[in-house]
Amino acid sequence: MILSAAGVLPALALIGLRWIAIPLVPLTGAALAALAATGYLAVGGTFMVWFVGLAVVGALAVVAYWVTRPDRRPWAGTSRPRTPLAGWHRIAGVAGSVAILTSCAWCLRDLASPTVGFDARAVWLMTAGWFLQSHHQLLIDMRVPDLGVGQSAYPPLVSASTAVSWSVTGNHSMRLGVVVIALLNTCALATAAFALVECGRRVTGRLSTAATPPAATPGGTPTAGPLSLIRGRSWVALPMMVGVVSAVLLIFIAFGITEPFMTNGYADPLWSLAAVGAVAYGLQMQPGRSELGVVLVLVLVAGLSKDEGPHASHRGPGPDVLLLAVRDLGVPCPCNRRRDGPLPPCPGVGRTRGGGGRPAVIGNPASERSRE
Amino acid sequence: MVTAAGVIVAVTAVVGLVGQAARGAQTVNTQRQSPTARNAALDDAFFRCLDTQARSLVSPGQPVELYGSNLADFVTLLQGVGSWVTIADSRSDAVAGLALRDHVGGPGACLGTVVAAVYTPPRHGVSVRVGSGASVPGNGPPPAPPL
Repeated sequence: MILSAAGVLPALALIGLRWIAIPLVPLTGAALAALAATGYLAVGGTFMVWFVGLAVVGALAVVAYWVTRPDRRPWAGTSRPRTPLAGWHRIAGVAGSVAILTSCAWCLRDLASPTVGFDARAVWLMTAGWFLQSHHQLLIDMRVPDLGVGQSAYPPLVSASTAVSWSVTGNHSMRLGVVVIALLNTCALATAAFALVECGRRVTGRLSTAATPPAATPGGTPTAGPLSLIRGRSWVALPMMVGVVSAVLLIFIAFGITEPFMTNGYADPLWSLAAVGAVAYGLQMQPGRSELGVVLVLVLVAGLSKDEGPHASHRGPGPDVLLLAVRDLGVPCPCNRRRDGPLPPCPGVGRTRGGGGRPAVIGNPASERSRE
Repeated sequence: MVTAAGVIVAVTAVVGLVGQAARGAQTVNTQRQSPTARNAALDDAFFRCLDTQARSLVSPGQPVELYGSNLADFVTLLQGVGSWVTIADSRSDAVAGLALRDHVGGPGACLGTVVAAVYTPPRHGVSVRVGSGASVPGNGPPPAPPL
């Protein structure tokens, strides 16, 4: 709750009023906690003063931004006309959120087993206690030769989040720490799963546009592509349903792969699932301020959770950030060719080609911009 | 042709996802079964026992040193008390040294292990004390958690 309170305004400013903001709010708060721990270690003071201070500064900055830019407020309406599928779009969002929440809650039943992993005791939860000690003692803990096990160079997000919960509740138990870490892991998974729901909604949007009856050419003969074979809106809504079902399946698959580390205090699911979400939103979605906000939060979470986050190979956010720069800054890339030509595979983006009107499974940003 | 291929790929993917999701749900259920839950409870009880015994010997604000006759004992002690104990900056600053003693029979032990403190200078004329306040019957070590 405290992490969410700290992260709600920055998350809304970055992402807007979207379903995906729900799991990203506590992750944003956790990133703030990590920054607070870094400042505390580097400068001094007390950890909770840093955390509250950063949360207040962040909130004030967001409020000032909204005051100076009323058009950027999350509740500010847009001038875009409502599409015929707007209702289906909203239903898919609600259904996806409820399905993901229910699946995560079912899988989190594993918290009933009081497992505390080796890394949790030796690294994450031990360092959490260090952040609640004095700055002088923290420096001693970080350099005494005998404590090499806990003096890892791992970033502080997991430990800092646990330290916040311990400080606020007064309950310095391993159990509470494990629960907090499990909830953060699940938030990262929910974010990655919701990318499938978003993908289904966007594909439906493109199919509904492509299925619009074509205007007749002068002379009376209407031109028609293969998409005119789609009859009725029910077919067009099929990708939405596939997206929701796939998201639920991903939840169970991810828990099956990561358990027991998802619920025993390990940080590995957090950074890896945040990286998956960053790839999904950063490279497979249409570029936009909200999507970039999602990617920013997920990249921060992955990079501040464990060293593998920024240093992993093709799945790490380091290379992903470079790919995002290539994609969004207009650097010439084979992906930006004409749509009618053969397209080589792009990192993280795929296309299928069929007949005169290709169903775009995942869009090409340059061509989508030109079409708009 | 392309549409048919796309449908085949989509159906195959969904079937594969459903199969893996079923296995995932089975893995989730396994974590709540008796052996896993029992081992987790025993491991948790062991470390809570060490924590309680250590707190009966030193308070969180007292600088201490941690010792171990072997690496495993040192790491175990660190995992049990490392989040709250005040580590001394140098040996001369420590008021006590904490260590584990294994193969201790009888009541008052955590799976046959106790926390012992060596005080420098002696406290109330006592230089060595064994922790109290908790015990876990049986012999250790506790079941190893998955790494």
